[in-house]
Amino acid sequence: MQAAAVALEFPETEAREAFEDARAVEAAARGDRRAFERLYRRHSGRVHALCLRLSGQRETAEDCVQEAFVSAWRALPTFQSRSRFSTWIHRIAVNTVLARHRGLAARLESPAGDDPDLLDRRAVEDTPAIDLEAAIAALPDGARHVLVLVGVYGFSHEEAASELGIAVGTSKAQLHRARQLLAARLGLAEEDA
Amino acid sequence: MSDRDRNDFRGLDARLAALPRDLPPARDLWPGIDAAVTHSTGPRRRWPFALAAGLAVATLGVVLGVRLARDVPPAPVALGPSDNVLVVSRLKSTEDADYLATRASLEKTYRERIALLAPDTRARIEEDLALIQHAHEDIRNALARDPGSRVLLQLLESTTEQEFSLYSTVGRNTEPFAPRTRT
Repeated sequence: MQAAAVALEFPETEAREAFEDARAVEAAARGDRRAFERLYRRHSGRVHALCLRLSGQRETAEDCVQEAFVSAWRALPTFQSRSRFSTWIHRIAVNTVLARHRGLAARLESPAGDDPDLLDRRAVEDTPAIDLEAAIAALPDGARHVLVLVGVYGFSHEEAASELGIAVGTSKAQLHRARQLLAARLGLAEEDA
Repeated sequence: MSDRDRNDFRGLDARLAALPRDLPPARDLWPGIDAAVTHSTGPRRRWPFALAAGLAVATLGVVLGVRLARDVPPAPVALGPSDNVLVVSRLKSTEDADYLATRASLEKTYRERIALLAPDTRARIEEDLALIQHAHEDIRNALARDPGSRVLLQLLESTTEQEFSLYSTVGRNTEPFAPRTRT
């Protein structure tokens, strides 16, 4: 009996979180900012992690988290209750980071932008710390984006390619390139590096 | 790819998959979001259909028109570190004579035409204008406390644009013999 009571009191965390999200989304869609704050508190860590890994820059990641949640607030009426809020806000965050990246890339002329070999060397050589997060952050943009989406967050290559506006084959090639760079950076394939 | 590579990648993939999903930001980002959603055109806004439709069309025209008049490039979709200067310079231009003259002209037309609307519609529009102007001041104050916030800078520009759009929309929708725009 006690076990049943415990099970009722503490339903599966994920299901409970989804239920609480759904209630908060419904209230937020009616303009309840406190409900929206609850959503922010629950999801900001995960959204920030995603933005940080995709952008590789702390300040950019923080800006993107803010922009993503503001965009989500504005788009709440379009949110489909069949979807999970966590999935939805992650998609918005990915789009926010990529839109910012594309905007910057279009406006700023990077001297290394057309030289992938230079970027590869810089990614491997310039960061002294042997740390996985730092090594990911130092990857060239294209390789980092695919690695984070596919390697860390489990997107399929089709999904990643769609998000990034690239071909599926390019996504696969970028993942391979990212793994090679990381392996070299972390000393996992010293002989080949 | 050699067997050793495969093994290395397997280990690497495992490390990637084991990375923590939750990395809270170093500072609380909610105040900036709260300021933004408080004054944004959020989920609750309701406009009379004709004016709402007019506003959607007018917004683009007015924003482009004002920008063209001021000879300033359109706002970037997303801002980067170097964009602060651009946005701030645009905001500074809101003190310019051209901006003030344009705003005064739009506001004058708005004041004349708002009286032509039904009392209920007029009240709602006045309420929205007050909200926009109040938001503008709040965002300015928030920006004084957090001058580096790009979100606040964008919002400040957004409220300026919303105010212009509102004036223009009322003007267009109340024009007695408004000729249809040819496309």
